[in-house]
Amino acid sequence: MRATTLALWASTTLLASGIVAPATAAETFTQLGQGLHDRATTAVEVHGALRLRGEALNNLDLDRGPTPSGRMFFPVPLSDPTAAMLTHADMRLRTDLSIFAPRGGLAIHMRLDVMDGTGLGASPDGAPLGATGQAPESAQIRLRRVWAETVTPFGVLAAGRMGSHWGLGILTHGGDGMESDTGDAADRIAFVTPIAGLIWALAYDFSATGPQVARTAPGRTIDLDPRDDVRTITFAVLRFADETTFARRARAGRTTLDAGLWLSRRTQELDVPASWLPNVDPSQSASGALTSASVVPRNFSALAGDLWLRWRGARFRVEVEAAVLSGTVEQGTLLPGALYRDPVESLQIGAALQTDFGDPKQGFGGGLDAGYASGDPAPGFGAAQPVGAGYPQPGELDGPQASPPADTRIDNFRFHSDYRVDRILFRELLGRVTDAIYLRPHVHHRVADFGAGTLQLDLAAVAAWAVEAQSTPGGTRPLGVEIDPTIRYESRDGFIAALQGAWLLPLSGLDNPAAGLQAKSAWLARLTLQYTF
Amino acid sequence: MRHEPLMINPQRSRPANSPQIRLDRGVAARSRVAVALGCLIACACAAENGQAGPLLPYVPAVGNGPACIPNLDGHIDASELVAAMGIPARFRVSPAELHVPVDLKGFVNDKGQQVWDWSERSSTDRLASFTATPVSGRWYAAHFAADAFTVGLDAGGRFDAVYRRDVQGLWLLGTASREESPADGQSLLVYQQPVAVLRFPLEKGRSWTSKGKVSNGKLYGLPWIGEDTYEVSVDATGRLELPDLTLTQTLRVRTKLTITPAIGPTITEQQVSFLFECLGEVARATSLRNETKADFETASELRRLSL
Repeated sequence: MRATTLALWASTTLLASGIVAPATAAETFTQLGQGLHDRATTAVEVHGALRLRGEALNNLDLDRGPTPSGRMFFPVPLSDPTAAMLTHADMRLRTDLSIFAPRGGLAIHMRLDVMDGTGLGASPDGAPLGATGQAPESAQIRLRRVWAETVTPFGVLAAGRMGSHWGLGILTHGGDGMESDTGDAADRIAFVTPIAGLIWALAYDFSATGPQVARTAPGRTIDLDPRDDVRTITFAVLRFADETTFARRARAGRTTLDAGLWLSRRTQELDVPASWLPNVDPSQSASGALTSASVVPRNFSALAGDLWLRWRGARFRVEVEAAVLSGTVEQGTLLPGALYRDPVESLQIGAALQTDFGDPKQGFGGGLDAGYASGDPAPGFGAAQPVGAGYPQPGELDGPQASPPADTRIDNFRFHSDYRVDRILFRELLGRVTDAIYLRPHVHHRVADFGAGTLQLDLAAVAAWAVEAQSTPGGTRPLGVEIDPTIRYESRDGFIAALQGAWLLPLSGLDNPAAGLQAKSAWLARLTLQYTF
Repeated sequence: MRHEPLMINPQRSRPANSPQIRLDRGVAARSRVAVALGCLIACACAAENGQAGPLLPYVPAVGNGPACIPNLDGHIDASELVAAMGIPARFRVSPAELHVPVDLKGFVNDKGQQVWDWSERSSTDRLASFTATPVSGRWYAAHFAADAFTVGLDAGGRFDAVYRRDVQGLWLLGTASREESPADGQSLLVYQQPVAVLRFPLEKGRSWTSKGKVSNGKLYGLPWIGEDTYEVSVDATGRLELPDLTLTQTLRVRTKLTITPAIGPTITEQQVSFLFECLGEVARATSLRNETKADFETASELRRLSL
């Protein structure tokens, strides 16, 4: 195992977060301007949902022992590491608030998440045994989005911190769904206009502006150096039919093709690692302590292209997204004055397919989903590449994918963590799809329609392989087969209850050959209650 | 670095257990004082993964990043030279059987900056790993302060150097064979007073002399009495080119070690080390025995930080 310098951490982090997930697409550009119509008075709309979620997770460490670094695939019970069952429950109140000005030409939007992911019972107000309630300070409020939009003679101009989503969401995902836990938000100025039947969008993101200091003027700060800014420019063009148009065409027996092309470029010339590294002595990281010596050359540039197609009719939907990301960090160092000789480069390719067939009203349907995320031959999947993590040994589950000078490439495409294809392997063990191929046949059946709601059964099977055998802990490509059943009740007034199951049958890629242990099956059950308003 | 043919080390032709060889080994065992600083790079390195073993508490895969960021202010404070325990640092080391050319003078580039180009990738280089660890648990721990730490002294891992660090400096407390009973005999040399191998803040122009007496030592199983004199000077600052890295502002530290045994001839050896903030010693050249030129051109050993 090699020692890896900070410069490596920089490289991997920058490429992992900067190239793999640029988060630059505007929030589904097609949504900009919606709701802007003539109104007599100021209008306020509030939407949202309260989600409660309880889980039982059994043997997610797969009983295959630790990786060479001593890490388990998943936490094990504290009192008895050989036991298998863990449980958890959490909640989240999501509130989307929109304020529309009179005459309909302007709107301000806000998203507040309350107790986002807060564990139920995780904050007793005192000793656990004698707790009489939960500490109120645990009820955190997260302001995820604040942005405004207005209609101009040329199109819609939006500005602020807004959601970022494109296509199926493999690259950038707004996290709007019931199953989502994160979601991208970008500080952005976006302009969208319809020309020749297409939607054209241009966005500029203030992705990172570096250290700031207070000005003499109270309450104001100033960005210390424009050259350390990370800038992202995104262009998109879409052919898009809204749901009303689609429904009309479907009733007429016609299919609808939507398509979009998204191009994004991100750059950074200089960097000030001391201002953002998590473990730096505060006396060094304080803006007042920063000097020109704190600045390192970066010369990072990345280009991302993403094509999205959706073809659908009354009885089918075929949707595909394919993305290519290319980037270079000319200087990956985190230490001023300690410079690498070689750049770190990246070429990543990802694609996802979703299909649905069957008339939703007739109650039975199915389809086949599939996905590909390019891999990197370095050990571990590279799903999370945090600053400071060491280059993994063979047999590790995860870790940085570059270690200059011997390995200067990061080529694993990372699906956004909110793009969910299963419930255990990618979602819980890896955290996302990366360095993998999967097939996901699925069926659903509407069992009953109660008038006030419907009851539906879903069943999906996910078979997954690694792209690079060296990336897997077991050294082989087969990862596992997972069966994911669901019973879902959805009322017409917005209540959803979903009981999900998952059973993972791990294959040789998850084994522990060094210890002679085969990975064993795991399962989970999850009950989600959502009250939507 | 000049591209000259490597030279065979003539000392390799001596009988392995001759008294001179034993004395030479003793010199080597104590003269490579700065190698301990190599461990300091670990403070800026990624955490290493251990070997498979018993279950450990679950730790999320979250890195910490470096705690020390160079401020390139021209001197190295105690806070910028902290050993990271248990994390190995790797060095390219010239083979023991070869003498290698070395350029200690360097040149001045068009920006007026002193430059030493040690970037040549030699196919004969070997990889050596040095790790700082607390002295506790070592067989010689009882002879040193409890807060001391140890680092491999030689690239072969046969000797350890024992240090303490405080805000005043880095102190060499002594050396010992790593194994308690090695085949060629136990070694344990404890200085009566710690030797200052580095004084903080380390900056150009600073120099000092420090002596360490050994009155009841043991070298290769034989009694050893003597005095070591360390003459240290920080005489230059400049840019150092290494095979894997460029360090834009290093301090050059010269150390002349004079070993005066109670019996036998006095021996000298020179070391020229380059230190960088937060990383510690990033390169070093060790002279031939009894070298007289400060800018010696042939090194008995060359070490360069490797990634």
